[in-house]
Amino acid sequence: MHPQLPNPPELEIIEEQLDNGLRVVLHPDSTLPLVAINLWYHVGSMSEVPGRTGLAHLFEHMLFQGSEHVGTNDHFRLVQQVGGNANGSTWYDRTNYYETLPAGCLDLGLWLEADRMGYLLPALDQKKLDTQRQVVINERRQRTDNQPYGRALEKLHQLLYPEVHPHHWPVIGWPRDLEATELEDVKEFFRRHYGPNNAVLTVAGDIEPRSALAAIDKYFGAIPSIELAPTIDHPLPALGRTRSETMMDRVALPRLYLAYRWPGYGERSWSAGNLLATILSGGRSSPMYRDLVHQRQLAQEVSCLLYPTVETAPFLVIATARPGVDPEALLAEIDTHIERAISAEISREDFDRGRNQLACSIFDELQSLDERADELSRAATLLGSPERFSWEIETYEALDAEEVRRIAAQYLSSESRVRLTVVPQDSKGRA
Amino acid sequence: MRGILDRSQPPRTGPARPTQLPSFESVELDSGLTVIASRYSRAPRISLHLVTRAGAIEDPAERPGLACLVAALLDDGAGKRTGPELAALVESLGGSLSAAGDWDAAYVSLGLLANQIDVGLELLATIAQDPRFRSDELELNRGRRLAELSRRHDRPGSLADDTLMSVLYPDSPYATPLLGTLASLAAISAAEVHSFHDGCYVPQETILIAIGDIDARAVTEKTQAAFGVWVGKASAEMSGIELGARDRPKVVHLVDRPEAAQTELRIGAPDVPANHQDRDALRLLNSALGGRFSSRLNLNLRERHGFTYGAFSRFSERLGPGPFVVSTAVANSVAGAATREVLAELDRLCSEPLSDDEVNESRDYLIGSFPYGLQTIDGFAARLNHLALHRFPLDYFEHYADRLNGLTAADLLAVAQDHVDPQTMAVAAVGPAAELSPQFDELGFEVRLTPDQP
Repeated sequence: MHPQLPNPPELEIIEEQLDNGLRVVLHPDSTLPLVAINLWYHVGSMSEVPGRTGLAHLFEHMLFQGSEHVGTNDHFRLVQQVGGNANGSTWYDRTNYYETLPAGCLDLGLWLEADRMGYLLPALDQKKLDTQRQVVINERRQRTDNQPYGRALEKLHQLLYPEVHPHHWPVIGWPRDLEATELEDVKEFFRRHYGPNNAVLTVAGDIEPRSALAAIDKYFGAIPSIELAPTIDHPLPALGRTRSETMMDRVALPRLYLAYRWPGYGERSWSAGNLLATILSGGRSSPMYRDLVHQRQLAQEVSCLLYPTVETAPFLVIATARPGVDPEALLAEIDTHIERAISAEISREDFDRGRNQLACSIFDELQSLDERADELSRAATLLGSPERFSWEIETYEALDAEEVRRIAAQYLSSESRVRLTVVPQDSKGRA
Repeated sequence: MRGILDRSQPPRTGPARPTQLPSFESVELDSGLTVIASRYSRAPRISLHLVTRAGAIEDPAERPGLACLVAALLDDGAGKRTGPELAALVESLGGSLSAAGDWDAAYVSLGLLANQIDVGLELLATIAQDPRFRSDELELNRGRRLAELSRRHDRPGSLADDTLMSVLYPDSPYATPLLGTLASLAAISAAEVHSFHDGCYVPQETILIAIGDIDARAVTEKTQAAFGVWVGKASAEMSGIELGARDRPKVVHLVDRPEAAQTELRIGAPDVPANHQDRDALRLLNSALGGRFSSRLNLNLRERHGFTYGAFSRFSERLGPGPFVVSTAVANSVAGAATREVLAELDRLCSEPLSDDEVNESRDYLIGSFPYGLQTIDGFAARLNHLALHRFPLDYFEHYADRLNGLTAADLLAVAQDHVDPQTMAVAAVGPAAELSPQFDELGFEVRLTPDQP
């Protein structure tokens, strides 16, 4: 009934480094006539300071506005006209940029990425910044301000982390900081973070490694390395107590959020936390779903999740109450589950299910070339080597139920957590 | 030593290598069940889908939401197993099981490890032939869906979608969300669930798709064995959707949200079924208008004006006449200006041919990005499902590029004029009426307030 999991796929990985410091990862796979280019810069909102929050993400937008040899709207146009896809995303500890192109278009993608790594500044101007500032403010409205429960996660982070810690503010930033950001801030951010010696370039797919490497060197080799901004230290005094807050929103159902601080991605304890989250709430046979959603119908949905962030990772429990259910009553039942997880033995069934689910979701992700490229960049950037892309699966196999329980007991303390309840407002905005 | 590299021009791209759709077998069993199987492996996983043409288009007039409720109940108990037992069996193997409906069909999807194909087929055969529809599961689903429907109202984007659909398709299944309405959900009886299932779930309208590291022929044989002689209880006759005449004055249907941080805008009209002869041209046209980041709408509203995070358009592909819709969320102060820009883009689409460059770009995007969707077994399954569901010929994708290459700017202009009429587009908006009304007045639109009730 509990089959031995197949091994993670064996990927051919070649690692190189250019003289200017650019780390290169190659992964040949010719199943489909596609090539995935994936560039991770080791910079994100963790590199921001209060007053200029959102700069890393606003900067990501500016990187799609053309560079010295690439016209303002040409990045997407050139990629899409050959049938490619391109995008980027910003997170706490990294910013990634990627193109998936038909094989035969590798040089086009490399030329585009190299141009904005090496020749961005001549193309930056105030008008582009002003337009993208409005785009980002609209992105924020669409994703946060105009969504039910949209501001809850921001509130949770504010409560869980001190004001000077980057987890205190959202990656997309505060509107007043976005408004205040000047062109010189953007330029300085580029000079201190966007160089070959702060990046990993992964090229995966239908390539011949030697000629791919030659092409990479051709486009990136002449870009000088930069003087990196010094790493910012983020001391994190213990939370030490429980903080609770209630906020109103235009929602039909109350929702409860619990947040705990957990060790960051890359540590064995992180894997234990991710496994625990899946054990508790992953799928319809998980104990929280079975009990709270299916049998007693106290919750519309319930989920536990752990952020994949490096320095510290928030562990969240999110539960939406069914109509007529008091969030306090729901909280008591959730606490019973958490209490059980840290004091009693995790059942063999739940433990195996959680581990199998995580392994299979990783197998699923590794099907697509762009995900593979992203995983290889992640492993190279955050874990030190692309070969460590299977680190997660390996730790899940190494952990046992007792160790997961012990780690959970260490970090899931009801004495040191944040609790936020979102309650429906009436038409006059009252709770 | 490296020479100086001339970066001033984009590098030339190599010739596109043609993409072969992975080979697959399609067999109709004696019962009428269609089995499509392919050995295509990207991971030690298999992807199984049971698809029955029993979607919301089949909802009885007084019971919107019935089809999708029945679909959702399929994996909540079948044969000797309860819903939780089915879930526990699949999840203990690292798999996932889900059941849901859309406008066209009911889908039971099962992901498993590659060596579990027998378990998978046995499960799906039981779900197809012996769903239990237990009354406790019916009540649980009813309650969850009622709550879901009231929550749907929380999301301004969904509310804008629903408002537009109610205007475009009065008195048809497309007028209400897939979940149905509060009144119909509350009224659905166990007898109605059974009778809907008896009437619509027949082998002739069902497709089984199996993809992964499997032997396609063996899967067909195993399916024959597992599904035995499945006989449906009725021979289903597919429903259709009749459209009224298209005569719309300039009206914006506005849901007032005084506190909204942004305005959700939808502009659209009913269009044609997925298998319409103009389908390829419509895809190409949409690639130029609003199907990509570099399409006209997004370049205009986002990159030129900074009105929005994104603006897109879509010709929905459904068994019935699916809608053409432009969607965007804009700053409240520019909702009128954004509507004007969208309508101007639609006018331009219908009054002047696309440039050759635009035709080439839009077409090459569709052709070049085709293999992108084949990276995962679920992506490939979705392609095969599209083929089978809409009864396209099996070689449909083999000639896709040829058909697109055959379309000229003149063809596309004619198709635009046939399908897109800016004068009769309906507009729906969710945002602060006090700020929006004067803007729409100025555009010459009558503002009609829509009640803000689920």
